[in-house]
Amino acid sequence: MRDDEAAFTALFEAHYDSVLRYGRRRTDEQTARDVAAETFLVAWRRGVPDDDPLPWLYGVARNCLANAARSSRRETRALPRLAGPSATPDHADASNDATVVRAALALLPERDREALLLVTWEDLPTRAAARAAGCSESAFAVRLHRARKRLAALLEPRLPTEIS
Amino acid sequence: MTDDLLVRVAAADPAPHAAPLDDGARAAFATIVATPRSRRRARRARGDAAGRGGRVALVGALAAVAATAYLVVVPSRDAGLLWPTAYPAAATRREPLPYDAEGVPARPYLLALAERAEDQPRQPAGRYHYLRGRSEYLGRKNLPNGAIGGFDVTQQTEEWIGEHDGSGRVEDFEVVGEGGEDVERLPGRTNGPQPPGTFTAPFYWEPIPSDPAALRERLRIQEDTPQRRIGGGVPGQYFNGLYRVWTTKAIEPDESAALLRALADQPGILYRGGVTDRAGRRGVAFTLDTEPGTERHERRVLVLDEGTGAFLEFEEEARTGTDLPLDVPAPAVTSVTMLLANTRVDSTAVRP
Repeated sequence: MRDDEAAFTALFEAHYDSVLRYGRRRTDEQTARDVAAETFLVAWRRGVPDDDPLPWLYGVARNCLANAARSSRRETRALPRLAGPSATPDHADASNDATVVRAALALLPERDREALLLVTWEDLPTRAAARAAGCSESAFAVRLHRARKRLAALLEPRLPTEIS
Repeated sequence: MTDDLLVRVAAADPAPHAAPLDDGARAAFATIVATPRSRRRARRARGDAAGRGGRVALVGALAAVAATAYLVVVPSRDAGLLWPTAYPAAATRREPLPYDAEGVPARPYLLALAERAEDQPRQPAGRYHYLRGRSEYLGRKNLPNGAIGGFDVTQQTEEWIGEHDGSGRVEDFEVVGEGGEDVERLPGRTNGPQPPGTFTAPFYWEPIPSDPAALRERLRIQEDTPQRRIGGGVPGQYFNGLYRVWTTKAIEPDESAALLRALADQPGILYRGGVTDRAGRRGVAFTLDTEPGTERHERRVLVLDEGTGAFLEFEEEARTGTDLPLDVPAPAVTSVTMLLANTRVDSTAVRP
């Protein structure tokens, strides 16, 4: 095995699951797998930055996901695109709060939502999240601040203390 | 606003647990490493910013279609789904177009259309490719009660694609539900102006090569991706490739002729006579069937303008019930893609 193939194998083994879960958090299971495959195909054909490749992979996955969504809408038939990830236990279902939070997230502008998800669900530090989002660190900080503010406003009426 | 908010978001993660690589991952890996690498691209990519990751040819190959608009967010009725989804309209069976049942080899008809295509005037001058279309397809989803339900989706799409810098505009509307008022929200795309680099060559504006080998490679790269398990082999790539090219750039007469001549060389394509497409336009139909027993056993239908060879409509018909909602018997049309405009304009403010 050549060095570049060995490096790609290591990259795949280290990060495939993270990229797959990035997709699962945002779309159905099959599309998530397609997006993960496309993401690593891009990495295979183009190569990846030498340092900290995961944010770069998330950035590619984000674009693949957007394009896959566009593609599926116009050209495919019978896609189980809205199906939940049946093979993946959905732990949030058991929690009313998780459902409320997800519903609120879905109401955010896409950029705001993505900023929040990158630092929570993908658990990226701000600098890496900015790379994944394709913007500067300062711009990402502004985006994240705005997202938190908007999400807090959306969730505020549903806080348990107020309901009780 | 405190960090408690981020804790709540983190707790709503629908995929919190890591998992070892499974058979699907290993199969994807095998497919990927069997794909030729681009040394030049690999060198160039090193040091790229993350945000430019999407502006690659492969993604361009996937991006053969337009984005989807969000006008009204419909609350989800499915617990556990992140994105709001509209309540599905009942799936309805769409009859195949009334083309000739038998069909004859398509080659002479496609070559005749290629000659007519060459005689057509060139596209008007303009910085932007303008594409307008409408698509209708039958989908299915897992309902909360565990059953599979069908629903109909209709999209109207518009793209302004600037080949000078990859900027443009997208105005797409997805009509979901019987009332025709709701649209569905999708992640990752918004309507309106698109920044430079959104649309990428070669799959949006690069001229269609007339050289058969170059055209073959162009369509292979465009169609042969894991995302598009289209079936039908090489003829399928030409068949699908023709309509996909027509829905991603303004087509010149010589490009149309090259696509038709290339299609004429493919086996298995049948001429099915005159039909009226779903938009009420008169055309001629060609079909290609994929093999029974394959993942996508279906018939594909191309409707072309008899006078100009221009692409009018593409349809897919499921020949078995495996891809259909349970209440829709096969054969049935599962997707319809109509091209309503293919031209150039000077500005994203112009709507022909």
